[in-house]
Amino acid sequence: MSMQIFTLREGDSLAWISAYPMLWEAGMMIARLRLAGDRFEQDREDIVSTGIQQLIRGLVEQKNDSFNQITSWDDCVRMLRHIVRQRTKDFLRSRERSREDAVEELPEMPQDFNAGYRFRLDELLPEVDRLQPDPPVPQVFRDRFIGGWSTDEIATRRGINRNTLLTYFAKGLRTLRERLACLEGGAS
Amino acid sequence: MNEHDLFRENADLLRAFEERPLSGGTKVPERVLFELEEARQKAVQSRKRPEQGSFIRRYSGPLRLAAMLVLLAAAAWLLLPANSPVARVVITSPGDVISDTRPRIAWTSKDKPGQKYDVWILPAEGDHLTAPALFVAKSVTSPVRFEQLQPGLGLDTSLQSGVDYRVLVCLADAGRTAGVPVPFTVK
Repeated sequence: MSMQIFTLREGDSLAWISAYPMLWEAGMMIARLRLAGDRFEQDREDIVSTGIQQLIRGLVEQKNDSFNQITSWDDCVRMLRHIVRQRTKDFLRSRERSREDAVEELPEMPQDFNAGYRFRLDELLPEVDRLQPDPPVPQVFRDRFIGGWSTDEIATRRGINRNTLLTYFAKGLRTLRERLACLEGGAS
Repeated sequence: MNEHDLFRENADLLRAFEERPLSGGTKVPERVLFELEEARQKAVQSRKRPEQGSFIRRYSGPLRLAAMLVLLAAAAWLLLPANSPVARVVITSPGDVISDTRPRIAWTSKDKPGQKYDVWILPAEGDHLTAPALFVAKSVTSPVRFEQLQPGLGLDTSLQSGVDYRVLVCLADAGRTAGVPVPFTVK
C-alpha cells in the first residue's frame, strides 16, 4: 500500500487517517528495538506519537527544506524512522544514561556501513528459524528483535541466564551473517 | 560480554528487523489518534493563515531593494556632472547688442557632429515656450544665415532696429523646452 504524497501535503483528513496505522507501525518497530522492555511502553508511544506529529507539521506546513524534499511515501516512512531514531536517542540522553548503560537500544550505524546493501527481512527470518540446534535461540531472537522485549525481560520470562542470552545473540548473529554472506555469494 | 558492542557490530543486520515491511494492521491507540488529528488540524490552519508579522518583516525584501535604488540614485546625482541645456549649446552669434538687422545665427555645442537643431527668434517678452515665433529655421546646423530663417507671424524680412529679441536654439524636433533663450538687441 502506498499513499499519495500530495494528498498528505494538503492535510487531507482521509489520507492521514489511512497513513496513521502504517506510520505508527514503522515508528514502533524502531522504538521497540531501541527502547525495549515493558517499562518503556508509554515512552515508546509518546516518542512515536510526537515523531508522527513532527512529520505532519513538516509535510503540511511546508516550511522546512528537509520535509519539502520528500516526494514519495517511502521518503515519508524513511523520514519518520529517522525522527524516531533521533527522538529515542534524545530520550536516552535525557535520562542521563551512559552509552554503556544504554545497551538496550541499538547503536549508531558504524562508519563503514554500506547503505547500498541492506539485509532483507524475508531472507533473514528463515535463517533465524534455522538457528538450531539450540531450541530457544530462534524464539529469543524473535522476542528481542521483533517482540520488543528487553534482554533482561527475556532472561526473566524464559528463565535463561542473561549472559547465556548474550552468548546466544552473539553466536546467532555471527551465524546469520555467515549464512547470508553465503546466500549473497551464491546469488551473485 | 558487552551487548552494546555486539549490537553495534551487527547494526546492518539488526536494521532489517527495524525496517521490515509494513502490514498496516497495527492499531493506533485512541489517545494517539486524537493527538495526531489535532496536530494535523493545527498544521492545516497554520498553513492557511496569512503570514503574521510586521509590515517591515513581510516586505523586507522589496523595501531593501527600494532603499538600495534610492542610495544609488542619490550617489549618481551627487557624483555625475550636471548636464544642463545651457552647457550643451552656447550661442556665439548674435552678441548682446548688434547693428545688423539680418544677423547670422551661430552656436557651438558638444553634441555629435552633424547634429541638427531648430532655431527660433522670439520677442523679448513672454514665455519662450509659447511666445509667437518671429523667425524659424528647422533642422539646421551652425551657422545659419538669416535668409535661411522663415518668417513667423509677421511679414517682416528682417529684424527692426531699436527692438529687443531672444534667440533660442534647441535639438531638432525636441521642442522649445530643450533650450534657454538668449536675449539680444538690435540698435
